Amino acid sequence: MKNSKKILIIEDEADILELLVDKFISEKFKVLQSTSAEKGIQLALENKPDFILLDIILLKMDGITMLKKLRQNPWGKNVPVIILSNVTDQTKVSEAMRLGVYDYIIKTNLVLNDLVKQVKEVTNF
Amino acid sequence: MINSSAFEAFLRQFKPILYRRKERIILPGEDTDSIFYVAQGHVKQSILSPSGNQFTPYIFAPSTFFPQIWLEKGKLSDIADHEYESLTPVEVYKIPKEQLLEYLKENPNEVFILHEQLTVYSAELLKKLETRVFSDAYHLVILALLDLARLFGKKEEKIILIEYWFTHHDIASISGLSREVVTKQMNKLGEKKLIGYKNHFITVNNPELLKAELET
Repeated sequence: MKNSKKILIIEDEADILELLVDKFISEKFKVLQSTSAEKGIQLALENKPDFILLDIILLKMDGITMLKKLRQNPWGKNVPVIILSNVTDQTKVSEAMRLGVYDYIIKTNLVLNDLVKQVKEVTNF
Repeated sequence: MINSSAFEAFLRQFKPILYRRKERIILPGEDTDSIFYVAQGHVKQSILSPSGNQFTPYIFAPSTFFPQIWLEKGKLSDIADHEYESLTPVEVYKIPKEQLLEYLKENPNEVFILHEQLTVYSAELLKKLETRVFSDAYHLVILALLDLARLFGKKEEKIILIEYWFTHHDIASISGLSREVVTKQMNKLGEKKLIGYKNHFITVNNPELLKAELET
């Protein structure tokens, strides 16, 4: 596990979070997880993961606000982020794009193997 | 770059369309009566040869229009093997040709901006063709990196930081080479200290020296 990449997943839907966590652990990633943006930003700045998967709709602080805070941090401004969204979140995705994201995924179209492939590509350049 | 308030008001009647990275926006052989305006992100034009080789003539940046052939009288089906794919996540507006023509008739000054885009496109295309025909993999990778530095670069002291998370796979798709060949050329450039990595991003350590490598 010495060279394994670290990924932070912030998602408040328990079943989706579990699915993602299990998949990335099975792919030998070190996985950090949170169901809230507040804890997510704390985990990000403390652990400096190689990649972040961020749900756009969260209770209290939403994904956009967390992304804004992350991009204001000297380390957080460059970390690759994939946004997890719903079909109806187009305006929020557009806003996230302005802040700089690697990609976005509509949760109903999520293909786990494709996501893992994408994360592996960008964390192993 | 068209960024007048009149154009903003014109755009508001259309709904923006989002694409994830690596999504095809116009398929090879597909015809369209619309022109796309890039609001956010970057779109890659590719030409696919019958033998499966790929060539990227141009990358469309925010505030540009594609496909360029629309500006002439041509049809996309005349150039059947062109495709347009999102290089990053993108937000585009799909504008019916007739409506854009009407807008341009009412705002003739903006035609010059479209012509300027076409001129830049043609110059880039010629440069790419020259490199493609007369150069090797090393030079194709340099050209792709210079392109990315121009489009995504941010100057930081003496280096240029390419501010998007490009992988060797991406550079392979832009330069029409295999990932393995790109990695070999990138390593060569790294050993010469012409490029590097900083905080997840590729850096061009000295753009002038990298440009000079095109002449070697």
